[in-house]
Amino acid sequence: MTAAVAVVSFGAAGARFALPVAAVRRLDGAGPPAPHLAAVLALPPGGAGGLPRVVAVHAAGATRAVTVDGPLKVHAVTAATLVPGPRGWAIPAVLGFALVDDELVQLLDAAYLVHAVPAEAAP
Amino acid sequence: MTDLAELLAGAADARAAAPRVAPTRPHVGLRTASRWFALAATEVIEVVAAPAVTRVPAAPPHVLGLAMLRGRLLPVIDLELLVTGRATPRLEHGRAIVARHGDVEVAIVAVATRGLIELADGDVDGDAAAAAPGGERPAWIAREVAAGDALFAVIDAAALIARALGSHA
Repeated sequence: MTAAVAVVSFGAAGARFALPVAAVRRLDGAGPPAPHLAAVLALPPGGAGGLPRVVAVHAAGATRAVTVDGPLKVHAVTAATLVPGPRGWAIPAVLGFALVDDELVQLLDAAYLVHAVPAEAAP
Repeated sequence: MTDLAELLAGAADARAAAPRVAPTRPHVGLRTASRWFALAATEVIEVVAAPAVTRVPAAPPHVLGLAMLRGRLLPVIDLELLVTGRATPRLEHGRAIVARHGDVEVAIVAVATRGLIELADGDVDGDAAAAAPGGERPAWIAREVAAGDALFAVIDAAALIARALGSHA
Protein backbone atom coordinates (compact mmCIF):
# COMPACT_ATOMS: atom_id res chain seq x y z
CA MET A 1 0.00 0.00 0.00
CA THR A 2 1.37 3.41 -0.95
CA ALA A 3 1.13 6.10 1.70
CA ALA A 4 -0.39 9.32 0.45
CA VAL A 5 -0.80 12.74 1.99
CA ALA A 6 -3.71 14.93 0.92
CA VAL A 7 -2.67 18.49 0.18
CA VAL A 8 -4.41 21.65 -0.95
CA SER A 9 -2.54 23.52 -3.68
CA PHE A 10 -2.83 27.16 -4.67
CA GLY A 11 -0.89 29.82 -6.52
CA ALA A 12 1.33 32.78 -5.63
CA ALA A 13 3.55 34.85 -7.94
CA GLY A 14 2.97 32.39 -10.74
CA ALA A 15 4.23 29.39 -8.75
CA ARG A 16 2.22 26.58 -7.17
CA PHE A 17 2.36 25.78 -3.47
CA ALA A 18 0.60 23.29 -1.22
CA LEU A 19 -0.21 22.64 2.40
CA PRO A 20 -1.37 19.41 3.99
CA VAL A 21 -5.14 19.28 4.23
CA ALA A 22 -4.68 18.56 7.94
CA ALA A 23 -3.10 22.00 8.41
CA VAL A 24 -5.88 23.89 6.61
CA ARG A 25 -8.72 25.01 8.88
CA ARG A 26 -10.77 26.95 6.39
CA LEU A 27 -10.90 28.05 2.77
CA ASP A 28 -12.78 31.26 2.01
CA GLY A 29 -13.61 33.08 -1.19
CA ALA A 30 -13.35 36.32 0.72
CA GLY A 31 -12.78 37.39 4.27
CA PRO A 32 -10.97 39.83 6.50
CA PRO A 33 -7.83 41.29 4.91
CA ALA A 34 -4.97 38.82 5.11
CA PRO A 35 -1.40 39.19 3.81
CA HIS A 36 -0.73 37.61 0.45
CA LEU A 37 1.41 34.49 0.41
CA ALA A 38 3.73 36.14 -2.13
CA ALA A 39 4.56 38.86 0.38
CA VAL A 40 4.85 36.46 3.31
CA LEU A 41 7.32 34.29 1.39
CA ALA A 42 9.20 37.22 -0.21
CA LEU A 43 8.47 35.90 -3.67
CA PRO A 44 9.58 38.02 -6.62
CA PRO A 45 6.66 39.63 -8.43
CA GLY A 46 5.25 37.97 -11.50
CA GLY A 47 2.76 35.51 -12.82
CA ALA A 48 -0.89 36.25 -13.09
CA GLY A 49 -2.97 34.37 -10.57
CA GLY A 50 -6.58 33.30 -10.39
CA LEU A 51 -9.19 34.73 -8.08
CA PRO A 52 -7.85 35.40 -4.59
CA ARG A 53 -8.82 33.00 -1.82
CA VAL A 54 -8.14 33.11 1.90
CA VAL A 55 -6.62 30.06 3.56
CA ALA A 56 -6.61 29.65 7.35
CA VAL A 57 -3.53 27.64 8.30
CA HIS A 58 -3.16 25.91 11.66
CA ALA A 59 0.12 24.72 13.12
CA ALA A 60 2.02 24.81 16.39
CA GLY A 61 -1.13 25.80 18.26
CA ALA A 62 -1.83 28.93 16.23
CA THR A 63 -3.96 29.79 13.23
CA ARG A 64 -3.14 32.44 10.62
CA ALA A 65 -4.88 33.53 7.46
CA VAL A 66 -3.11 34.17 4.15
CA THR A 67 -4.42 35.21 0.78
CA VAL A 68 -3.49 32.98 -2.14
CA ASP A 69 -4.26 32.83 -5.84
CA GLY A 70 -6.81 30.35 -7.07
CA PRO A 71 -7.69 27.90 -8.30
CA LEU A 72 -7.50 25.67 -5.22
CA LYS A 73 -6.93 22.00 -5.93
CA VAL A 74 -6.71 18.91 -3.75
CA HIS A 75 -4.06 16.32 -4.58
CA ALA A 76 -2.72 13.11 -3.10
CA VAL A 77 1.05 13.38 -2.75
CA THR A 78 2.85 10.05 -2.73
CA ALA A 79 6.49 9.07 -2.69
CA ALA A 80 6.25 8.59 -6.44
CA THR A 81 5.29 12.22 -7.00
CA LEU A 82 8.07 13.66 -4.83
CA VAL A 83 11.01 15.33 -6.53
CA PRO A 84 14.39 15.69 -4.80
CA GLY A 85 15.19 19.29 -3.98
CA PRO A 86 18.24 21.08 -5.32
CA ARG A 87 21.50 19.90 -3.82
CA GLY A 88 23.30 22.44 -1.73
CA TRP A 89 20.46 24.90 -1.47
CA ALA A 90 17.86 24.88 1.27
CA ILE A 91 14.81 27.03 0.60
CA PRO A 92 13.11 28.44 3.67
CA ALA A 93 9.45 27.53 4.14
CA VAL A 94 9.63 24.68 1.63
CA LEU A 95 9.75 21.13 2.97
CA GLY A 96 9.87 19.45 -0.39
CA PHE A 97 8.67 19.32 -3.97
CA ALA A 98 6.16 17.24 -5.87
CA LEU A 99 5.36 16.93 -9.53
CA VAL A 100 1.59 16.88 -9.87
CA ASP A 101 -0.13 16.94 -13.26
CA ASP A 102 3.20 17.99 -14.82
CA GLU A 103 3.34 20.99 -12.52
CA LEU A 104 5.97 21.58 -9.84
CA VAL A 105 4.34 22.05 -6.45
CA GLN A 106 6.28 23.42 -3.48
CA LEU A 107 5.19 21.73 -0.26
CA LEU A 108 5.07 24.40 2.41
CA ASP A 109 5.98 24.09 6.07
CA ALA A 110 2.76 25.08 7.86
CA ALA A 111 4.63 25.93 11.08
CA TYR A 112 6.96 28.28 9.17
CA LEU A 113 3.98 29.97 7.57
CA VAL A 114 2.15 30.45 10.85
CA HIS A 115 5.31 31.89 12.38
CA ALA A 116 5.89 34.23 9.41
CA VAL A 117 2.38 35.68 9.28
CA PRO A 118 1.73 38.53 11.73
CA ALA A 119 -0.56 37.69 14.64
CA GLU A 120 -3.12 40.26 13.48
CA ALA A 121 -3.79 37.96 10.53
CA ALA A 122 -5.42 35.43 12.85
CA PRO A 123 -8.81 34.65 11.33
CA MET B 1 82.68 15.25 -28.37
CA THR B 2 83.11 18.96 -28.46
CA ASP B 3 80.95 19.14 -31.55
CA LEU B 4 78.22 17.17 -29.83
CA ALA B 5 78.38 19.40 -26.77
CA GLU B 6 78.10 22.44 -28.97
CA LEU B 7 75.19 20.89 -30.83
CA LEU B 8 73.33 20.18 -27.60
CA ALA B 9 74.06 23.61 -26.23
CA GLY B 10 72.89 25.21 -29.44
CA ALA B 11 69.64 23.24 -29.36
CA ALA B 12 69.02 24.27 -25.75
CA ASP B 13 69.60 27.90 -26.69
CA ALA B 14 67.18 27.58 -29.58
CA ARG B 15 64.48 26.12 -27.30
CA ALA B 16 65.00 28.91 -24.80
CA ALA B 17 64.74 31.53 -27.52
CA ALA B 18 61.56 30.06 -29.06
CA PRO B 19 58.35 31.93 -28.16
CA ARG B 20 56.53 30.24 -25.30
CA VAL B 21 53.03 29.03 -25.96
CA ALA B 22 50.79 29.48 -22.92
CA PRO B 23 48.94 26.32 -21.93
CA THR B 24 45.26 26.35 -22.76
CA ARG B 25 42.16 24.50 -21.54
CA PRO B 26 38.82 23.93 -23.21
CA HIS B 27 35.99 26.16 -21.98
CA VAL B 28 32.36 26.79 -22.80
CA GLY B 29 31.48 30.44 -23.38
CA LEU B 30 28.19 32.03 -22.44
CA ARG B 31 26.96 35.51 -23.16
CA THR B 32 24.70 37.46 -20.85
CA ALA B 33 23.29 40.89 -21.70
CA SER B 34 26.61 42.69 -21.71
CA ARG B 35 29.55 40.32 -21.62
CA TRP B 36 31.05 36.91 -22.24
CA PHE B 37 31.80 34.48 -19.46
CA ALA B 38 33.50 31.10 -19.70
CA LEU B 39 33.42 27.93 -17.67
CA ALA B 40 35.97 25.15 -17.78
CA ALA B 41 34.52 22.36 -19.91
CA THR B 42 35.18 19.91 -17.09
CA GLU B 43 32.62 21.79 -14.97
CA VAL B 44 29.91 21.91 -17.64
CA ILE B 45 27.40 19.10 -17.74
CA GLU B 46 25.24 20.25 -20.62
CA VAL B 47 23.91 23.20 -22.57
CA VAL B 48 20.13 23.30 -22.86
CA ALA B 49 17.37 25.53 -24.16
CA ALA B 50 16.36 28.14 -21.58
CA PRO B 51 14.19 26.18 -19.14
CA ALA B 52 10.94 27.18 -17.48
CA VAL B 53 11.70 28.65 -14.08
CA THR B 54 9.62 28.29 -10.92
CA ARG B 55 9.94 31.12 -8.42
CA VAL B 56 10.84 30.11 -4.89
CA PRO B 57 10.60 31.86 -1.52
CA ALA B 58 13.28 34.22 -0.26
CA ALA B 59 15.65 33.70 -3.17
CA PRO B 60 18.25 36.41 -3.77
CA PRO B 61 17.49 38.48 -6.91
CA HIS B 62 20.14 36.76 -9.04
CA VAL B 63 18.59 33.34 -8.38
CA LEU B 64 15.62 33.31 -10.72
CA GLY B 65 14.15 30.17 -9.20
CA LEU B 66 14.28 26.46 -9.88
CA ALA B 67 14.24 24.57 -13.15
CA MET B 68 13.52 20.89 -13.68
CA LEU B 69 16.19 19.43 -15.93
CA ARG B 70 16.40 15.69 -16.55
CA GLY B 71 14.47 15.01 -13.36
CA ARG B 72 16.70 17.27 -11.24
CA LEU B 73 15.74 20.58 -9.65
CA LEU B 74 18.47 23.15 -10.17
CA PRO B 75 18.80 26.76 -9.01
CA VAL B 76 18.81 29.08 -12.04
CA ILE B 77 21.36 31.90 -11.84
CA ASP B 78 21.54 35.13 -13.83
CA LEU B 79 25.15 36.33 -13.84
CA GLU B 80 24.15 39.69 -15.27
CA LEU B 81 22.00 40.36 -12.22
CA LEU B 82 24.93 39.39 -10.04
CA VAL B 83 27.31 41.78 -11.81
CA THR B 84 25.19 44.73 -12.90
CA GLY B 85 21.79 44.28 -11.26
CA ARG B 86 20.13 44.12 -14.68
CA ALA B 87 18.50 40.96 -15.95
CA THR B 88 19.71 38.92 -18.89
CA PRO B 89 16.99 39.10 -21.56
CA ARG B 90 14.95 35.92 -21.86
CA LEU B 91 15.14 35.29 -25.58
CA GLU B 92 13.17 32.72 -27.53
CA HIS B 93 16.43 30.99 -28.42
CA GLY B 94 18.05 31.59 -25.06
CA ARG B 95 20.20 28.95 -23.46
CA ALA B 96 21.25 27.71 -20.06
CA ILE B 97 24.51 26.08 -19.10
CA VAL B 98 24.32 23.43 -16.42
CA ALA B 99 27.45 23.60 -14.30
CA ARG B 100 28.59 21.40 -11.46
CA HIS B 101 31.07 21.77 -8.66
CA GLY B 102 31.23 18.91 -6.20
CA ASP B 103 27.70 17.62 -5.89
CA VAL B 104 26.05 21.02 -6.43
CA GLU B 105 24.61 21.81 -9.83
CA VAL B 106 23.29 25.13 -11.09
CA ALA B 107 21.86 26.38 -14.37
CA ILE B 108 23.20 29.69 -15.70
CA VAL B 109 21.04 31.61 -18.19
CA ALA B 110 22.59 33.00 -21.38
CA VAL B 111 21.48 34.68 -24.57
CA ALA B 112 24.10 32.70 -26.49
CA THR B 113 26.77 30.10 -25.90
CA ARG B 114 30.04 29.24 -27.60
CA GLY B 115 32.13 26.15 -27.27
CA LEU B 116 34.48 24.61 -27.08
CA ILE B 117 37.00 27.44 -26.91
CA GLU B 118 40.60 27.09 -25.88
CA LEU B 119 41.47 29.72 -23.29
CA ALA B 120 44.93 30.41 -21.97
CA ASP B 121 45.56 29.85 -18.28
CA GLY B 122 46.96 33.34 -17.78
CA ASP B 123 45.10 36.59 -17.19
CA VAL B 124 44.60 39.07 -20.01
CA ASP B 125 46.95 41.46 -18.29
CA GLY B 126 47.87 39.71 -15.09
CA ASP B 127 46.21 42.35 -12.97
CA ALA B 128 43.34 40.80 -11.08
CA ALA B 129 41.65 44.02 -10.05
CA ALA B 130 42.16 46.22 -13.09
CA ALA B 131 40.72 43.86 -15.70
CA ALA B 132 37.13 44.07 -14.53
CA PRO B 133 35.12 46.69 -16.37
CA GLY B 134 33.75 49.19 -13.95
CA GLY B 135 36.05 48.38 -11.07
CA GLU B 136 36.69 45.52 -8.67
CA ARG B 137 36.47 42.06 -10.13
CA PRO B 138 34.10 39.71 -8.31
CA ALA B 139 35.84 36.90 -6.46
CA TRP B 140 34.03 34.32 -8.59
CA ILE B 141 35.72 35.59 -11.75
CA ALA B 142 39.08 33.87 -11.74
CA ARG B 143 40.62 35.80 -14.60
CA GLU B 144 39.86 37.47 -17.93
CA VAL B 145 41.17 36.11 -21.19
CA ALA B 146 40.93 37.46 -24.73
CA ALA B 147 40.08 34.93 -27.41
CA GLY B 148 39.10 35.80 -30.95
CA ASP B 149 36.89 38.86 -30.91
CA ALA B 150 35.78 38.56 -27.29
CA LEU B 151 37.03 39.00 -23.77
CA PHE B 152 35.96 36.09 -21.55
CA ALA B 153 35.55 36.38 -17.80
CA VAL B 154 36.50 32.91 -16.62
CA ILE B 155 34.24 31.69 -13.82
CA ASP B 156 35.50 29.98 -10.68
CA ALA B 157 32.56 27.59 -10.29
CA ALA B 158 33.12 26.94 -6.58
CA ALA B 159 33.28 30.65 -5.78
CA LEU B 160 30.26 31.39 -7.98
CA ILE B 161 28.12 28.76 -6.26
CA ALA B 162 29.20 30.02 -2.85
CA ARG B 163 28.39 33.60 -3.84
CA ALA B 164 25.15 32.88 -5.69
CA LEU B 165 23.61 30.49 -3.19
CA GLY B 166 25.15 32.24 -0.20
CA SER B 167 24.78 30.61 3.17
CA HIS B 168 22.40 28.05 1.65
CA ALA B 169 25.23 26.45 -0.37
